[in-house]
Amino acid sequence: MIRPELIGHGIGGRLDLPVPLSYFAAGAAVVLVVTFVGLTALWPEPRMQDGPRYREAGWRPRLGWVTAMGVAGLLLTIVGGLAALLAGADAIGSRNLAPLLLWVVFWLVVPFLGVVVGDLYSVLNPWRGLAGWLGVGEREKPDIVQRWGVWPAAVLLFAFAWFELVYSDSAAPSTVGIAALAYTIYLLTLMPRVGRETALAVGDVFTPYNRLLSAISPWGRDQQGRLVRRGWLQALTVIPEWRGLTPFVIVMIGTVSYDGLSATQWWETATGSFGATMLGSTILMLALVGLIGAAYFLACVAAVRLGGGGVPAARVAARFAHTLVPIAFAYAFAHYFTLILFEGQQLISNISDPFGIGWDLVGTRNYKINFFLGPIPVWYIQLGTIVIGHVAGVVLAHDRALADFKGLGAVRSQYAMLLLMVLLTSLGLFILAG
Amino acid sequence: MTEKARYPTVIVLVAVTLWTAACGGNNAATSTSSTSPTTTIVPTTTSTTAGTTTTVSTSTTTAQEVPRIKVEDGVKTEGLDTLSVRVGETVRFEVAADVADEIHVHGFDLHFDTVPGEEVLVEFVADATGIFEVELEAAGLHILDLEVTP
Repeated sequence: MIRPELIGHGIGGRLDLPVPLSYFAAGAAVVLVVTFVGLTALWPEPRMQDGPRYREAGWRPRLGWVTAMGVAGLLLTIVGGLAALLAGADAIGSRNLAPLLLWVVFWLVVPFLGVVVGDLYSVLNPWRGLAGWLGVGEREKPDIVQRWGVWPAAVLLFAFAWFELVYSDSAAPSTVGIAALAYTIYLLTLMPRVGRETALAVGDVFTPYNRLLSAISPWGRDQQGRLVRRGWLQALTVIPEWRGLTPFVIVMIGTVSYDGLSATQWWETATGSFGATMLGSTILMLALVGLIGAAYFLACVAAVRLGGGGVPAARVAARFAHTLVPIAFAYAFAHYFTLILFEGQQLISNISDPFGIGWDLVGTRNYKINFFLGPIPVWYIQLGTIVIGHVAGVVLAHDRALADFKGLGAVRSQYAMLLLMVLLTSLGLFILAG
Repeated sequence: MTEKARYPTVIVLVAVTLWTAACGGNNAATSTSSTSPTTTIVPTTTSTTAGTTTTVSTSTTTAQEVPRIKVEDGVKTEGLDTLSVRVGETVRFEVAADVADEIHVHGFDLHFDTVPGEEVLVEFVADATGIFEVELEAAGLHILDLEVTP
């Protein structure tokens, strides 16, 4: 049976070779050792819970051009998709700028860059830019954020992942263009009703997604909007506990797991022709998200029991949700960084022929992708990312446990969460080896 | 303070374990790659799932035989699903389609025109590793996975 991944995936046509078993074993061993070391040797008092200490960066970057680029990117995506539809050039997705802008630049490069430089998306956000220029949604209704939190965004994140991974036509330029247009209309109608920032906080998938990932970054902005330095991971401990934060993080992990897992030989054998249909893969993706959510909730129940009780498990789930963010990032990065490095080069030829209709504006139309990185460095980077993400998760969970559970309970409460993290990381490694 | 002092200790421990594991992984990888045989066409390890019509290629000795893929009425009716080669080797397979279309080898971004009633030979040197999709472009039909290993 042909791998379903290659058909369903938003863009690409190339997969990394599976990590050899020896690498898998080495990675798993490191994870176990690190977890054990983490439990015994990490600090005995919480040290990250007061939030980051900000140091002013001392310079104020002018970022208006970033917003302009975001808006330009959105318009190019819409125009590119519609142009392909009109010109009948829809079949060859890679020849059009729109799918690449959405699936590589917007969905991967922007959040991944945010992990290093701080929340790039908050500046680039084309819908905030458009609304600002049009003067849409000036009156905020912040109580809606209190009531809904990121629940709508969690549901939309699942829908977006479904569009990327299950819907069979998601790489077609016209589909991408229409989706971008529909999403723009959706946000611009929501904004006048609830306010610009409220609409983005509650109804925009990419705002919480980028905000969570960029909380890993050592760069941020303070209340006055000044650029500040803070430690790596520090901002994660002060992420507001919005309603729906736990489901949002679970969907993040669950959908990327689905993407990786559904491309393994093992998965094909296990799911057969059922997993190859759109309905079947929808059900399986939902089931996987549900399974990971159930495992997390179970770990929280166990943490409460081991930690001495007194707190509802749902509360613990919300308190520890941020500890899963580095793991979610590691999953996504390990899985997609070669797509960025290789498929991203398509931009070079796209510049010459943005709508796939035969132009050659700057003479780069026939640029061929250079696969400059062999499988061995790729495997090292994948394993390294997974292990570092795991370590970050363990550190965050350890610190939160010290703050939330006292005394002996603090140590014992960690068993469940650490076990869950080892399982999640093993799943990540298994996916890479599949 | 003692807590402060533990910070670097942990980092060193992590670094050492990472380094050890990395070296172990490297040795193991090179040993496996040197022992595996260098056949041009490796039999596909296909899943025998109920409900799928999979043709398993068993060409182990007659490596010169060129695998053939047949497409009729927009459906792949014959041929293997995964073709494995080593990097630097020549990929060779034939496609017999009953429509005029274009065979697109993703990644390498090569295009070969199909002619109804004729067999098209796809032949090129695989100079990059990975699993690449081969598609009948206009039909949107995924006809082959090309696996290029180091």
